[in-house]
Amino acid sequence: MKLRKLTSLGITQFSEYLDLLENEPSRLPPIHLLEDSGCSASVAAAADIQHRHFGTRYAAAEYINSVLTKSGEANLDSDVGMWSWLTLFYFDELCPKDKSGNRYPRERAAYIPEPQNFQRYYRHLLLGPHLIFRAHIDKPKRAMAVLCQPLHLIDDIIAQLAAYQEIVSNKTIIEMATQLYLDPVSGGKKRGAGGKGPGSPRRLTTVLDQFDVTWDLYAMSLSEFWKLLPREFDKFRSTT
Amino acid sequence: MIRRFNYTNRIRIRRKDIRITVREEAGQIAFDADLAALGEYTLPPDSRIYVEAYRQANWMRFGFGQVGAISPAKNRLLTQFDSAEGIKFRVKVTPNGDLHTLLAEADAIPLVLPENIDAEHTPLLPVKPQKLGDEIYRLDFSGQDGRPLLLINSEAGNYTDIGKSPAFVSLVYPAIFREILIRILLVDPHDDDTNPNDWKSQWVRFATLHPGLGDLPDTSETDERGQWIEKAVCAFSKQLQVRSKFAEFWKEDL
Repeated sequence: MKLRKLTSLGITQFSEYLDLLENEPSRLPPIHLLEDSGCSASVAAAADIQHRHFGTRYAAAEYINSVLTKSGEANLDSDVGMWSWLTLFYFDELCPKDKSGNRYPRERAAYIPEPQNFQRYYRHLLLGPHLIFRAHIDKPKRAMAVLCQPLHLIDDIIAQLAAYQEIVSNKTIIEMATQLYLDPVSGGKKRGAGGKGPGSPRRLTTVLDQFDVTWDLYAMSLSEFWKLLPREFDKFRSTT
Repeated sequence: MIRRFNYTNRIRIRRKDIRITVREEAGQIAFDADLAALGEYTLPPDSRIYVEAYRQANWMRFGFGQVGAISPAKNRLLTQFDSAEGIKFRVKVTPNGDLHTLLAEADAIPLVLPENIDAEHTPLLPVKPQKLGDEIYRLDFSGQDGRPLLLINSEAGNYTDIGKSPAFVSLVYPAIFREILIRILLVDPHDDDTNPNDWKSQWVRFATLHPGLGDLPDTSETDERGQWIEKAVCAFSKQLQVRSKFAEFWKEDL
């Protein structure tokens, strides 16, 4: 299939479906919008895109990045119509059915992106991983702390780290977060990494926010961060 | 809101002292930064200047020489950004050497697009006469971008005279200011005062220019935001000398 974008009418109808889904959780997604000529349109340099199950945010971001790179089209990061189309295209994984066949959608920003909203852009389940992947394109796996999760989840690691521009864009900090919270054996997050206590991602953002008053965080090396971090983070650092 | 303690003597560079403009270069966006005002701050001449561009997860950093010898990076192409929209900038000053402490910083500096250089001259609150029945005024948010428009009843008299009258100024303007801030900060809620092209940011910035308000509380701190609005209206009324204007028309019959 060729990559397309939802028109404003298509976005409205997709949004209406999400509203209806709140009360009718078994309602079928409006996949006809994907090819309806009034509700979707072609992307100028349309690339081929395939249905697949990704499993993780990383896999989705890697694939979508390859598709968008091949398309050669600029200005796609803020294309609400294209990201909404992609969301509908992969809706089964982004809003999975439970055993009863019901879907329970997250907040609207998870499906229809708000790229101009610096507080919510990262909550889109495809655009968020894509932007993080691309920001770390030289070594995307350094961002596994915020890319290892299943595609439909925004856990506390993502909510804490991706929400702060100074953190998510800082290669050293993101590498440190991955070393702290990613279990290299399982590929998932370490036990306790999703909590709110000492050494948690929530505490890390608080500590880094305080460091930011004093230090030029983008200039610091990983070893400098390790020296500065309070001992409460040792329990995650040592359990690799 | 995460509260931070600054005991570092780090200097806060005023955003108005930095001007960053965008231009096109070889089909890509590039920027220029006017940092001449940094010379007015008490900073070591050999301290280093960096300009950072950021949006969402993207970030780029450019060396701009030293405070005593500003020397912009030759390549100022914003290659990590697919458009100029929404890009913001930081200016950092650090000591010359390997110590990564901050001597001074300005954050959330908006990029000025060539077509928006005159945006600052758009009135914050346009006024328009309109038939309003028995109402004297109404705030209209139904415009294309939601920007408030002050409607004054065209059948109540000359709308410009009404708008300037001491009675209207003293009684209506503080109420309008409160209504707009409630809509922007509590109903919406908006959290940015740096976009010169966004009417909500313009109003938040206008409010923050009043003394004694402190930082705008985070969007989740509803009560604190409500208190911040009340302080803003109080400061606005003081600046407008509302009480003396009220006294101009109010004569008690003793």
